[in-house]
Amino acid sequence: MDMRMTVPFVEALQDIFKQMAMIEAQTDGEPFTDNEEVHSYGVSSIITFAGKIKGRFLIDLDTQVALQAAKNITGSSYDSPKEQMVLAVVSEMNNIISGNAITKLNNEYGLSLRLAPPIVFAGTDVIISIPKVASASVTCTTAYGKLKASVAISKA
Amino acid sequence: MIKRILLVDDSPLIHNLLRKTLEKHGYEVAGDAMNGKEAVELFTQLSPDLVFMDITMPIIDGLEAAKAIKSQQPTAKIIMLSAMGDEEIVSQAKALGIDIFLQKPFDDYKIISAIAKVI
Amino acid sequence: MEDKYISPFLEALKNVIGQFGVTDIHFGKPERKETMHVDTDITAVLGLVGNVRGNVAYSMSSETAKKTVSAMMYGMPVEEIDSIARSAIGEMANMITGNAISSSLSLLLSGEKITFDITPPSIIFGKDIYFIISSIETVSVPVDTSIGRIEVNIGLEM
Repeated sequence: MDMRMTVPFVEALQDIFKQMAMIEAQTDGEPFTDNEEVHSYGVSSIITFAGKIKGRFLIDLDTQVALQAAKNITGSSYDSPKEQMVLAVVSEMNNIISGNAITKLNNEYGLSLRLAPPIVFAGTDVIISIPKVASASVTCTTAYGKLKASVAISKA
Repeated sequence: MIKRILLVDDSPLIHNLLRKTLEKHGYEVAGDAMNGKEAVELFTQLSPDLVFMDITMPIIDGLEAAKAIKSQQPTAKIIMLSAMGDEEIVSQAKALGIDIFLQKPFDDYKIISAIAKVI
Repeated sequence: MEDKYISPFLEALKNVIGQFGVTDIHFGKPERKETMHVDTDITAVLGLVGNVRGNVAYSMSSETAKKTVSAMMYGMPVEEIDSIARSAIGEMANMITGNAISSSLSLLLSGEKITFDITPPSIIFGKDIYFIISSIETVSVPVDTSIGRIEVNIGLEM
């Protein structure tokens, strides 16, 4: 996979976590080619997109990161990542991150990409796989735990 | 007179955040629409001074809703507030006579200074 | 989401798995919800963009998933959900969704030219998962078959 595709997503992720949730996310290193399975940290959101290419963007958060983001954004405290508002916060953050990243890709490469609605989920021991499509991932460290961003692109 | 603003977005979170910002700065939220169809209905019903309009929404999207509102009242003030903002979308919005196009995320300053420019 | 958008997905499911030799297909009662709670091992979810926009998820137990893949592979025994099996489940989700939209759903949107793209499926493993796949509502329909239950969850923004 072309690693350049990951740049706008990772930049948008860092910007938006900082601006909306006041959480600094430091990348642990360069993007790496991920194997087919992602073991979820706790709360995940997937947004898929299509246009001249197709793909998927995944953000995966430690439960504490999701709870803290929801608290910083809404001003209320939450106990469980399964609460509606926590899921809504993660889902809307992903919508904005993906919207910003896709905007850049469309402007730069003329890809005419459009987003499907965000999917968000929380469970225990969840594994996410995207068959037949290579993905590139970046892990980040925050004051509240880990965060992962993963971009998968397939030709249309 | 207190300015009344209609909020249109499919995310309840965005409604909460916008409401906080607007009320803090002395504006009144005239109504909350969750999709483009509700937006057109509430616009007719409430005649707000300004509309904040998301784009990607169920039933009717924000561009179509803006078009319907503008054809009903050409002087209607609309600020688009969308996660997406590529050249194609922005030029579609401009063609409809949209006053300002803002990309999410937003803070108080971004929202309040945009309002000051249109009303 | 109106009821008329649900049956194309059920009919497509019936056609597609019927072709693989699955029988005794019975549709349960549709249920509308904001959050979908999955308690069945495997969920294949994919998105739609275009003038039909949304997400559709198909959930089943690993037992049913193995039998589905086996049926798709002309009866070849399937012991575990490896990468080939996952890709087969993704393919099935693709076929059902594509079939539902191109064959029946387009007839319902009369007069409007239907343009859509199906996005790559993700396969999610794990029990007791809370999902939100739509900002409005999700319609869940249990479908009982000769190889077990498949739950169809439709979140279309229309």
